[in-house]
This record gives sequence, C-alpha cells and structure tokens, in this order.
Amino acid sequence: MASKVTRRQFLKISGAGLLLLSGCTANLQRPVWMEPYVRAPEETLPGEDFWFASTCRMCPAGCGILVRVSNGRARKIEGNPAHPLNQGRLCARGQAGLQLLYHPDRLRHVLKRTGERGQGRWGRTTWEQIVEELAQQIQGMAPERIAFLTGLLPDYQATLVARFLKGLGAPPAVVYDTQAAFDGRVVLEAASQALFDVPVLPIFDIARADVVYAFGSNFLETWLSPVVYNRAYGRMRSQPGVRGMLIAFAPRLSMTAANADRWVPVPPGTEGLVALALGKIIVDEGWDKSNAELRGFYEGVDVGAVAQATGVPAEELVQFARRFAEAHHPVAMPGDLLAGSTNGLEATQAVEALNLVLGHLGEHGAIFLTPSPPSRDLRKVPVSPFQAVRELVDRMAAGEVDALFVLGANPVYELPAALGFTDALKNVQLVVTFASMMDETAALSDIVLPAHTYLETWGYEFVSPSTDRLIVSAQQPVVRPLYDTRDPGDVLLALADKLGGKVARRLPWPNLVHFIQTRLTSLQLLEGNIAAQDAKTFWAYWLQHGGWWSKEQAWQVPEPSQNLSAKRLLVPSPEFDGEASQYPLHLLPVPSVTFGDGRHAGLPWLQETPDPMTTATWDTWVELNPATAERLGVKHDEIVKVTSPFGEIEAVVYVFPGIHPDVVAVPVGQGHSAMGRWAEGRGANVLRILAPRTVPSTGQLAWAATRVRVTKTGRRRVLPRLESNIGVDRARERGVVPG
Amino acid sequence: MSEREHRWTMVIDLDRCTGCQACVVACSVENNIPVVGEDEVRMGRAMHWIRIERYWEGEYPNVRARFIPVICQQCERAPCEPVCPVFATYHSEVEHVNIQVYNRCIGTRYCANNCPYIARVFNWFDPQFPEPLNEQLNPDVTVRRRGIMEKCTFCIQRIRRAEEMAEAERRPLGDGDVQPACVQSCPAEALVFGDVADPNSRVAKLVRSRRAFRLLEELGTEPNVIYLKGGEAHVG
Amino acid sequence: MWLLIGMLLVGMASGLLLAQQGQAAPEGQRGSEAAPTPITLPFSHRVHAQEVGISCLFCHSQALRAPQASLPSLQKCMVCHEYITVDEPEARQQVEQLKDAYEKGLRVQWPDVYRQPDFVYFSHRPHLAKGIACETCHGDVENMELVEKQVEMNMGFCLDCHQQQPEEERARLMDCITCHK
Repeated sequence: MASKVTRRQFLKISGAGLLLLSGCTANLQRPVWMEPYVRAPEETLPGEDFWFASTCRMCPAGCGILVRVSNGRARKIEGNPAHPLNQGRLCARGQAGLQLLYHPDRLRHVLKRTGERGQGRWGRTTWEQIVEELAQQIQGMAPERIAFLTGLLPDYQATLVARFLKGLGAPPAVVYDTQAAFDGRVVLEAASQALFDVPVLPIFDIARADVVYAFGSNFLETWLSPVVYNRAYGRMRSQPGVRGMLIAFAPRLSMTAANADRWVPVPPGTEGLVALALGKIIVDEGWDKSNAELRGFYEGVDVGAVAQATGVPAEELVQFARRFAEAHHPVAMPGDLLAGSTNGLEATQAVEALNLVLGHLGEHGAIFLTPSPPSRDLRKVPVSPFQAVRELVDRMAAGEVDALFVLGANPVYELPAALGFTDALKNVQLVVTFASMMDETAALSDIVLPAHTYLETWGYEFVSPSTDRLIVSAQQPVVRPLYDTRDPGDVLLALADKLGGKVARRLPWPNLVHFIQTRLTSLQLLEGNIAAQDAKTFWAYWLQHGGWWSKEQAWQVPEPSQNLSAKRLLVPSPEFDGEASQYPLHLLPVPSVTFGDGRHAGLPWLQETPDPMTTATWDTWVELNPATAERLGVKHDEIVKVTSPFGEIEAVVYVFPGIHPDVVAVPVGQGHSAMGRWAEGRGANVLRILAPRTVPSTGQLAWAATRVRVTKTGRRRVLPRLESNIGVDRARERGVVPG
Repeated sequence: MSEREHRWTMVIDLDRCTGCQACVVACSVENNIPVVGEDEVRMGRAMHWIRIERYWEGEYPNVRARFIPVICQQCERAPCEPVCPVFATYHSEVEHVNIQVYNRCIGTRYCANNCPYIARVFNWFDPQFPEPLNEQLNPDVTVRRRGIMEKCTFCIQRIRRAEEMAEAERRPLGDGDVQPACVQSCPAEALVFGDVADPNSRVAKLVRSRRAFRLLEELGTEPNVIYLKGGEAHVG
Repeated sequence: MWLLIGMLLVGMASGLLLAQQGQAAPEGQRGSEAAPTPITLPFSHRVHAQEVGISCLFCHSQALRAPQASLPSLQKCMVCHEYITVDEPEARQQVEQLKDAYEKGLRVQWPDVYRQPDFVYFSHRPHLAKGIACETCHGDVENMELVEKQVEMNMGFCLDCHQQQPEEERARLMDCITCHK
C-alpha cells in the first residue's frame, strides 16, 4: 500500500496539507500482547456485556439505572426500564456518572496534611492507621464537641451517620446542601405540615392534568425529581384526546417556562400573591362549591393590589382564575423559586391552596403526598434548614467544635461567603472530609478520606418524592473499586468497631452489605415486584431488579388539616438584602441542568453540554433583559461586575430576552478553586455573594433575596456558546476566528 | 425491499421536547464524542452529534423560546454524499442510513460544507481521554482521529447489536428493539425510533400525523428524521 | 427480553460474589504498587488441539457468543493441569511453570496474532452461527506448534468470502457499515 501513492493519499497530502498520514496501518504492525485473567472473576466474560441494575446518585432523586459493563469496565449508564420512578429514562447528569468514576483527578489514597492547612501538602497513610488515629482522637474529645455536616446523603449513609453520632452522644448531623435548598425541601415539608398535618414532600400528577399552573418553578430542570417531571410533562402534552396546558408565573423564562404555553413574568417573590388573587377570584365567583369552609383563606385579599404589585392586569388574573377553575383536572404547583424568597412558606401554601379550594386532592392529575416508608428501618433522616448550618458555624467560630466531619457536601464552595464558614473552620482542631475528588472543603481539611463513587459501592434508597409506588431502590458496585478508596459508611463501621462501647452497639455490622441486608428484612413480607422465601433470595432479586417496589399504588391522598377553616392565607411582601438605591437589581442564582448546585462541574461532558436557554458552555454568564443591558450600556460577551452587599463576581453578559428588567440571573456551578482540571479556575461562583439570610418561619436560606448592582468593566470575553456559532463559518462571520 | 432491509426513521415530537440536554450527553457517551474545550467551542468546533437549537420568538414580555433537536437527517438524497471524493460517505441500501466510513475519510470537509443541516463535525485535533477516562469508551464505536469528519449514525452499532441478537435468538427484529442512545434516554419521551417499513411500528403511525414535517423540506433531501410540530398556545 | 433477564441474573450472581468477598482488593487494582511485568509461557496448539484433540471452543469459548474468541484464564488451564501432567521432562517443567504462575497469580501475556484495527467491527458470533469452521480463516492451527499468521486478514480477504455468499445476503455483507465502525 505504501509503495505507490493512491488517489486517496494524494488528496490527503495535497488537499489537507497539514494532516499527517493516518496511522491506521502503522497501528496494525505494532505487536500487541493480550493478558488473560489468572482467575476469571465471575462477573466478566471477555467481550460480553453485563448490565447491572443500580441507583443513580448524581442527584438525590434516586432513579434506577442499568450500567453496561464490558471487560470489567463501565461503558454506559442508562435508565432501568423496570424501575417505576424513571421507567428507563435518565437526565444529562445521570448519563455523565461514568466520568465521576473514571475522572483522572480522583483521590486515590488516604491523605493527611503535612504542611499548613490549605497549602496542599499531603502525606499518605493507610486505612488501618487512619481509623486507629481517628478513634483515638474521638475518644479524647467531648462528644458534644464533635460535629458532622453532610449533604443530602443516600439513605444508607445518612442512617449510618445518624446512628454513629447517637452512639457517640454527639449532636445529630446537619444535613444541608445547596441542591436541597434550591429544591426547597424544608419549605415544601413545612407547607405540607401546615395544610395536611404531615411534613412530607408533595407529588404533582401533571401527567394526567389538563391545566398546570407552575409558580416560580423549574420542575423540568433540577427540581426534586427532574426525570419524573420531564416524563410527566411529555405525557401531559399527549394524553388521549387532550393536550394539557402549562402556564408559568416567574421572573425568568426558565427552561420550564420556555415550555409553557404562556409565560407570565412577575417580579421576584410575588408568585404567591398571584396565587392568592387567583384563589380569591375563584371563591368570589363561586367555583369552590364543595369547599365553602375554606373561604376564610382569602379574607382581605385585594385583587387590584396584587395586579399592581405583580404587573399582571386584573382582567388577566380573572381569566387565569376561570381557566383554572373550569378545567377538569387542574393542578397548581409551587416551585423552587418560591423557596428562595423570604415569603416562601406562605407563597407555597397559597399555591397549594388553589388545589384545595377546588377540591382537587389525591385524584387524577392532582396533588398527592409522598407516603411514609414501608418500615421503621427505612425511615429517612430529615433535611436540616439553613439555620442549622448557621448555628454550626457560630459554634465553630466560638471554638465549641473540636472535630468537624464533612460528607457529601462542599460548604467552602456552596455557602454564602458572608456566613464565615471558612474563617470559622480555623477554630476547629480537626477537619475530616470524605470526598472522591479534592474539592474546596477537602483542600482545607486535615484528613481526606477518599470515597468510593456510587458505581463502586452498595446502598439503598427509599425514594422520596416518589411516583405512585413505594420504592426501595438498590445500589450495587458495577465495577471493582479503582483505587484504595472506601465507602464512608464502611469507614464509620470500622471506626465504631475500633471505638467499642455504645457506638459499636449502635453499629454492630461487620460491613455495609450486612447493614443493608438488615434494613431490607421487613420488605420481604410485603407484596411487591419480588417474592422470595428467604433473605438471601430476596437480596439477590432485589439487586437483580434494581430494587423493591410495591405492587399496589401507594400514593397518599392528602387530608386537609382540621384547623384550615380558621386559616387566613397571607403572603407578605418579599424582602431583599441590599438598599434598592445602591443595589437596583434582584439577583437570581439559577441551579444548573448540568452541574446542579455545582458538584458536577468537574465532569467534562457536562462542562461542554450547552445550557438549554443560552446554549453557553464552560463559563459563567449574567443574564440581562435587553432594556436593562441597554441602560447599562453593555452588550453580549462584555464582562461585567455583579456586586452585592456581600461581595462581587465577574462574568460575561448574555442579553436574555426572557427575564424581568429588574432581575439579573447567574447560573450556579462554576467558579471552583479545586475539583480537578476541568472545573478549576473557570467562571464565577454566584453562591458566594448571596446574603446569608434565613427565613424565620422555616429556617430556609432565602437564596433569591439578594440585591445587586451590575457595572461595566470595559473588558470582553466571548461566551463559548453554540447559538449563531454552529460550524466554523458562522464563527468566522462573527469575527471569533480570523480569516 | 427485502425482509432484512430497514428504513430507520426517527420521529421528534416538538410538543414533548423540553430541551433538557439528556440526549446530548447520552449521545456523547455512546459514541465516544470528544470534548473539545472552551476555546474550540468558541470557534464553533463543538462536536456534538445532536444539538438542541433554541429559537427566541417575540420580545419581552411576550417572548417565547422553542427547542429543536437537530441531528444528521439521514437524507435519502443526501447532499453530502456526491461531493465526497473518496466515497467515505454513502447511503446504505440495507439500513437506509447515511454512513460515514471513518477510515476512508481524508478530511476534505466538502460534505460538511454541503450539508444544509450543519449536522457534520470535524476532528480538528486528536481526541484526548486522559487515563483512566479512556475506560469510559464504548468498544463498539471507533475513536476518530484528527482530520476525520463524523456525524450521527443513528447509533448504527446499536442497530447492529439488535440485529445480531435477534438473529442469535432466531426471531425477527421487533419494534422498539433498536433504540439509539438519545431515544433511550429522552426523559420526556419526545424521540421515537423505528422502522417505517414495518407498517405497525410506532414511527410508521407517527409519521402519518398531521403535525409531521421535515426540516428544510423544500431542498428535496428527503430526510429520515420527521418532526412533529409543537402545539400552539391557546391562551391569553 | 430474555437476554436482558439473563444479563440481570448474571449481574445478580456477581453481586452475591462481591458480597461474600467483602470487597477484597481486586485483581489488577490500580493505585497500589506497580504490578510485576507479565511473563510468557510456552504453549503448543499441536499438542492440545491435535494430539489431545481438545476442541477450539473449549478454550476459546467466547467465540460462540461474543466478538472476541477470547483467551482462556489460567484457571481454565488448571481444569486439566490440576490432574494431568506429562512424563517428558521438558514438557513437565513447562506444566510446572504454568502451575507456579497460577498459584502465585502471575500476569501472563500472549502475542496477538490476528488483530483487527479499531475501525473494523468483526464478531466471531455471526460467523460461527453460519457454521464457518475456525480453520477457514485461521488455517491449520492443529498442526502448528506456534500459531503463525497464514493469511493477511485484510479487507480483500473478508470481501472475497462475502462476495461468494448467496445473492439475498450479499447486499448486507457488502455494505461498508457491516464491517466498519
């Protein structure tokens, strides 16, 4: 072949000049050695695919996955079609899980600080030594001076942490991460408590609804269980004979609002007022026949005042109310943005009350509640409000915490800087972080315990919020651990064993698998997808199917609380941090479809996945209404400074037609100073400049209640986006590339 | 058309697509699509085989955004095919898919130039998968090197796998046996894939919808990707 | 569907296996000390396939169901060599080498004689399913002490055979994408 120049080679040499000869022939001549197994592991047959059922842990939703494994390597993650939650579907984040496993910057050994904290000088040690050392340190500390800060952990880890701390006599873990705050979990639970007497997450059956009103909602992006709501949305649009309609009330045209038939822009924090006005019109016009006792809800509501505050004309409010009341299966759903406002609890109640006054509870296309777990063993550890983090930071600052363990959270990155976590950390003697990559918090720790990724370990999850079944999802290793890592749960078991006494009695299991098996015993008796005579068979089937789920529908129908008739719904005006004169714009941090609260910024697939609305990748941008941008004298791709009373960031302008003129939106997720080669030193972290403001009624962080000002810097950086830039010629036309 | 010929078709329901990007990542994972990095994206060199185009309509406050996923349209009369000097791209008469044979490709980029859908992407550099990231690679799909044109294949490797399995089990290929990665993942179930040659398949029914249309239909490229129009607002 | 269930069953079985092992350090775990360099072992196809008469598929068992025919694990060698040894001193010493490698868990490597480049899709399964004998492509391995490459497995070699197949199969067998990926 090489002896004469073929036409093909000729073209290659002359036409494309710089291209080298393709090396494929050279490749063939290189000797290749094959190495068979000495003892073939049972789960591998060379060249053949295995599909392991497990549970996705890229967000707390708990979707069922099947992982394709060939030759001992995980190649693809897909949704598990048998799993009742996601029914074979999976979101962008779920698909990218492989890169968490195979990330080149993963932690591979137990690390112990050798230099000053944060200097990045580490020595290695063994698991045996570190467990011994930690046990000794813990024994020398007063238990109330030991603290755990965890993210929204998988159930098995959360339960082990809770039992470990109880055994030690230490205070319970603070369970907080920004994703949970964005979801507004504590707010939703408090609203359920107020309206239905049970503090659980609501489920909205939008798949069978004909009219859906979404208030401040991004249920198609990151809210609670995005795959479930995407599927439900798709089905809502093509029900037999009916095309469901969606109307979104929110300050920003989110992806969810973009999919709505109508987006109604309202100023931030006023979504609840709209809901109140709609309810008022509904009762005034007498659509609420069956629920006359709830009329007190709307005493004193002034529709005209709402129209003024929200900018939605009164006549339109009447039309919206009628359309909702006339529908057969209308449903009103509160979203994440409500939870970020200071009136979040009241607004959420006002939205959910629309379902109540029309009597649409627990039926076809309405609101349901997440049922309680099928057994006490599977109880979930409650999420903590932001207030609990604040108290922990205060205690740390006051020198009342000797040891801080961080697991599944990255407080140095995700907490508002003004809270002072990083400073408070200096007063903590011992900081231990469990992490699979060196994140910002791990970098400031004394000891870093490298963790398995979810594809290398065992687990279970009682899925909440769920669909219409009770689901206990199974998690199993799909590949052997790549490095000298351990599951944090196993580390706690080993620690408890070393400590002995009460802790060891609370955690008596030799390893994770034994512990998980004890959690499942009660399920064996219940009617579900698997029937087994003994525990061993049950376990085998549970892993094979990817979990246990109830045979019967297990939606809990909400029962209105007894004392609702005396209740009056009040939605106070939203409050914001920062003087309006100095900080004229409202800052809206937007949780990212790809990074969530920022924890997945290290994964290159997700970095290069375009944001749905702006098509931007790899960077942080500032969304400005065209009128606002003009007023500020800025255009696309100009760098601006966003200043809040608590700090400033710089990012690139994206002129965004779908945003209220008083609002500036910034995506969450970039601005990492650690977390591997693809995350570090790119974009800006908007979470840092938020006001650390707590809402008294729920303790939730009012993350959408900060005012900012935007100023020009005179510098420019082209935002890497696809829009108007697909294909090289387009880039050339825009002057991005010369020529 | 013999029993073993297929006319693979994808139906994209714009009324269901939410723009969530699940398909984009699923495709990158399945097809070993390299990540090119910030600077290259800026130059319009991102390599996704499926992209979700977003179009603004109207002005604030009456503004809307529409999403359209765009992939290689697998044209029956593909403009990319006749311009390839080395026959690296051709129409498979068996699968009715537009094929790119990577080891034939010499990188003239004529095909991309001639594609009205901008569905083709070019490897300006050798792809980088720093170890152990290379272990994520799908063994059924080759890793393309510098100087080679690539594009959506309708996940031909999955078609082949399903055909082989059906053959091994001595049964005909059933509707839904073949699911490209994007279709498999789509949370809103907006994408449907199948063989229109089988009149009972889901796609065969969907392509008869009143909402069906093709992208740039007037060019006469006869795409095998059929879009269903999104519903119109009937409010306010 | 059955295939999927089958796969899940295997998945389950392996789950049990890992459970019993309590996640012992796996073979070939990275991050630990560098694994020792692989060794080579002598092996005669003539003795095994011709004199003893072992079927090709006994050792290369994956050929029936996977793209690769696969090499047997040392464990598989030991299925016989646990019990069978030979008198001839040189051969006996070679068997001892195998046993030693197996017991110590040494890495053993073999040269790849027939190799397809990355852009070629070749699977043994459909070829075996059509009843094509191993010798058709690999030659008279039974009588080779060391396997030698007797044919250049290039595109012409494949197409020569594909072209001779029945008319109704030919369109598919001549389609580029059947063998290229």
